[in-house]
Amino acid sequence: MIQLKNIYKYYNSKFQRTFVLKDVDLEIKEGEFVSIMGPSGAGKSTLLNIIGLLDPPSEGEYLLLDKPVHQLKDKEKTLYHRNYMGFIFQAYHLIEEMNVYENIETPLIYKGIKARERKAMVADLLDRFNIVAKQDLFPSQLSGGQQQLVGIARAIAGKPRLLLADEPTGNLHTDQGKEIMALLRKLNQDGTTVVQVTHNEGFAHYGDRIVRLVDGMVSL
Amino acid sequence: MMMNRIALTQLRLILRKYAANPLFPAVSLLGLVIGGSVFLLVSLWLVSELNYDKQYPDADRTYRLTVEINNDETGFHWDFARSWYGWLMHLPAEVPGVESMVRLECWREGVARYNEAIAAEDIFTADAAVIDMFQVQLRQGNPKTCLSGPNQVIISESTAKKYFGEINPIGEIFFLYCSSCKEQKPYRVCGVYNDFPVNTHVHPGIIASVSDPQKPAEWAYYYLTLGKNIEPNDVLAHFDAFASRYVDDKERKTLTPHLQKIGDIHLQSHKDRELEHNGSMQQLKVLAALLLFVLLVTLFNYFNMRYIIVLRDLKLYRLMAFTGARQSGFFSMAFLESVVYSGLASGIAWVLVVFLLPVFNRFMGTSFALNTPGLLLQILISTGSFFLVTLPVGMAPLLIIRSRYYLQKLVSAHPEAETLTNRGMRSRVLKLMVGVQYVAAFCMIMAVVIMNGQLQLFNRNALGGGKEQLLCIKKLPIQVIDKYPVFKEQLLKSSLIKDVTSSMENPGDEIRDMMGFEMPGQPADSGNKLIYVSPVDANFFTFYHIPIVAGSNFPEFGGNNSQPEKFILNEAAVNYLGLSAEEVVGKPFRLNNFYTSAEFGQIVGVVKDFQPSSMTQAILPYVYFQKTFWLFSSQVRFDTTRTTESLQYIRNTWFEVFPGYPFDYDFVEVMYQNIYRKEGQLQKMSLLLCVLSLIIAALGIFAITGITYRIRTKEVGIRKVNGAKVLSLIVWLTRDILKVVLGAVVVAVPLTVVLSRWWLSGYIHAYSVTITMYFLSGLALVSIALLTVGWQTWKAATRNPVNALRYE
Repeated sequence: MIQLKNIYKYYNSKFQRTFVLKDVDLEIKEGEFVSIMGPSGAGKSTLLNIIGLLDPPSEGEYLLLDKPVHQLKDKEKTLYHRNYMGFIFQAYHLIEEMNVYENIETPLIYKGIKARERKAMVADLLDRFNIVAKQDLFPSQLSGGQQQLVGIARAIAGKPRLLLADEPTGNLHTDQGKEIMALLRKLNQDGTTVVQVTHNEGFAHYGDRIVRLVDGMVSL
Repeated sequence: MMMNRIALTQLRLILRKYAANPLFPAVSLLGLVIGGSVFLLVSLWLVSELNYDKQYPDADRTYRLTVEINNDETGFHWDFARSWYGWLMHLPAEVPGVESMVRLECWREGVARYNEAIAAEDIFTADAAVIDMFQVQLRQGNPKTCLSGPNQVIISESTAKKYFGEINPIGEIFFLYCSSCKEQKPYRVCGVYNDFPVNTHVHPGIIASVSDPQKPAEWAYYYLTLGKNIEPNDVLAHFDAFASRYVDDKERKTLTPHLQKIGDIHLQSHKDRELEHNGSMQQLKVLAALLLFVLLVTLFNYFNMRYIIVLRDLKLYRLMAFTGARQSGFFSMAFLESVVYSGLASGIAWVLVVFLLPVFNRFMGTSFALNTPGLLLQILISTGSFFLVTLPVGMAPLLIIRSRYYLQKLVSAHPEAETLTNRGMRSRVLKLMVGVQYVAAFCMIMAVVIMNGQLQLFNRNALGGGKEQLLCIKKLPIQVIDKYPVFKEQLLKSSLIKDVTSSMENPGDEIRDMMGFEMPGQPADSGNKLIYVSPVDANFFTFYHIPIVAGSNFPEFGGNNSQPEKFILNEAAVNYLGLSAEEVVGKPFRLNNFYTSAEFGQIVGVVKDFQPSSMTQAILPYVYFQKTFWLFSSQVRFDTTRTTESLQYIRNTWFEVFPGYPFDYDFVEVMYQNIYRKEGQLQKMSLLLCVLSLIIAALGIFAITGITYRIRTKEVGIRKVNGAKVLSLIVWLTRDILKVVLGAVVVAVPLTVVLSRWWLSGYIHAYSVTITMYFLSGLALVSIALLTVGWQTWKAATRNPVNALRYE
């Protein structure tokens, strides 16, 4: 599903080039659950951003679903975001001005799904995540774990084939973290490819495979 | 359907955003509302000025004919709006292309009497064709027969109300007379017309029929309707041949005819003896420039506010992108937000203007009425234009920022680390925008300074104007003018009256009468020269404290029979004669006029140059002398601590001496306000616009500094912990804003120098702007800016560093 070949990411400052990623080769198959680990500043998030088409690589080739995507236009990226990918963030990144229901509904609206169908889909998600009672609340009224549940619900509302999670449990205490990880595993078992970045060795093992990054390079 | 759904979601989002964080939206809205209201009011005025006399059916081919006279031999130059060439009436018959002609004779100091009611009126004698040409709408009376016979009048609706109230005026008899009429004549009312609209250059209260249509008029304004497809030049080309039938070749060569399109009279005609005080294109241009400055300030401020709001909401827009919003989604979001702002602002401005119109009228001396046909529509159109202008400005920030920061860095620890928000006032875009606002603000301050100075210059030089309250009785009736000495004597009997003088023209009015003169010892070729004449009372110069620079004042009032006649020249007249003041005094002098003495009189003195007319004109060479029967205007200095009593006393004395004549007076100050109405309006307008744009600009930097300081809180904390003093922090915090405002002043100074030169070049007596003015204006601007951010700066600089650091 994902093929990264000789990916470099660097920033040019006045007199030197700072490398964030160096010569990364990575292949992720459809249906895998991959955890990316590594110390602070190793380039984990950057790698995830490149996979998620949020950040273009400086050099290298990226094939997504067998198509080169490293030089897409904004408009085409949006299509991938809308149709294939879901994002989960450490800081949840819910839209503060929308309530739970609306937050989950947003991607479906953009996807052009009809109102009745949309309603059913959101209702199903609220039910699955056991947050029906919270649907009218705004993010600021929820606990971190609840916010992350909403974040995940939103991410999977559009039935993405690829779920990208950037330290999804980073702001949560252990019990909440475990719940979230269980949920991710469940989603993976249902067929969604999951790529997560994490610091937590325990949570990393929820995945099938761990990719370790050190100083921007994949350590084997 | 889907678009609707998205739009609805977005609209809800926008409104919730405002509700959660109302300060910036409120500030941007307030700025827009202020700017919008100003735009609506000023454009109302501009449009009204531009539409003067455009309502006539054939306005595009109706012209006023004037004949300019330039006689280099006699020094006689007249460029009057009216003409004394009665033979011009034959133009339609003798010159091809002229379809019809109307003569309007304006009665000098016209008075109307009906039973006991008596008052001064704007009376005109006009050919019957006036009804068609000026589209006089008769409410009563037959337009076909009205004014067709002698001694008929049609009267305006307000005149009818004044004299007749509920009585049907048709068939009633009016008595009319004027300063040059021998007697009061009866006129029968045959029609009542709607008052002329506000924006025309003539507003007759009474229009009288011509006694004999074949008889040439004495002084008249000539209006022509040209045939279709006839150019003014086609008609003017025949003028020489036409004129040569009525005047000799020598005189004809001094004549230059002009055809002024009727719609151009108000703004472009600056002839002598205009029917009313005209507007001027220059004034409109200055006003338009000021309006442009206000709009600039408003739009730039709005852009800044929106820019900040968008930066603040950046996360929201990124999330929209993540959840799959497409280009059109952002566009519709920007569009919707902008529609909300512009719509609200335009709507509020519209309502404000509708409600504030009476206040505006009182402030500016205008008379806009909402029930005027088309006025509401016009306001609506202006509102629409304002909406359309602000709409893209409101959208721009989101679209600009989106294209720059598409999907960047949401996932990093500091999502806004690299956005402009972080830099606040350091951002180049914001700096530039604020800078432009302050350039405009500086120009506005200078406009106020210049306009004030110009008006002060006018008032300082006005005859008796500005300094104290003087009363002017404007219409001493010619029938009884010989009794002026009695009137004066009666007045002075009371201690309420300090002094009384009189002159031919009211203070501030044009003096355009010229006479030939003789002065032995002058070179022969000056024998044909003409000089401006101004009959005045003996105490005229002492009354107005005008110094005599050589010789002496008039010995005492000599009336009509002072023998020999005494003359006083002004300095300009002395120059005109090519002599010095000392040489002139004591010389024999004589005016060549039927009414003046045939004997030589004597020049007794030379008076310092002063402007008896409007300061918009040059000081002309005048000769002053005494002639009771030309003293139409009397000026009274009275006890200003007892104004009511004094007025009552003057009124009583008037009716004692001149029973049966209207007591028509005004305060000289008010008369000058009328003469300098344009300048006064411009002064008030520039002040209003300046204050409002300063407020808008202040709102802007207030908000920007607020957000800048919030971002820099941590930096302030760190600096404090490391030993920075409050003062140095204040300097450091205000450095950026100070640089921008000072930069704006530096850019604005040359700009204002150029603009003010252009503006003041329109005045003969122009106010000179000193460097100090520029310096003080710049200082004022900087002070205002610093005051605006003062409180916030103080708060930011004195905050406890622990709090500041924890705050982050």
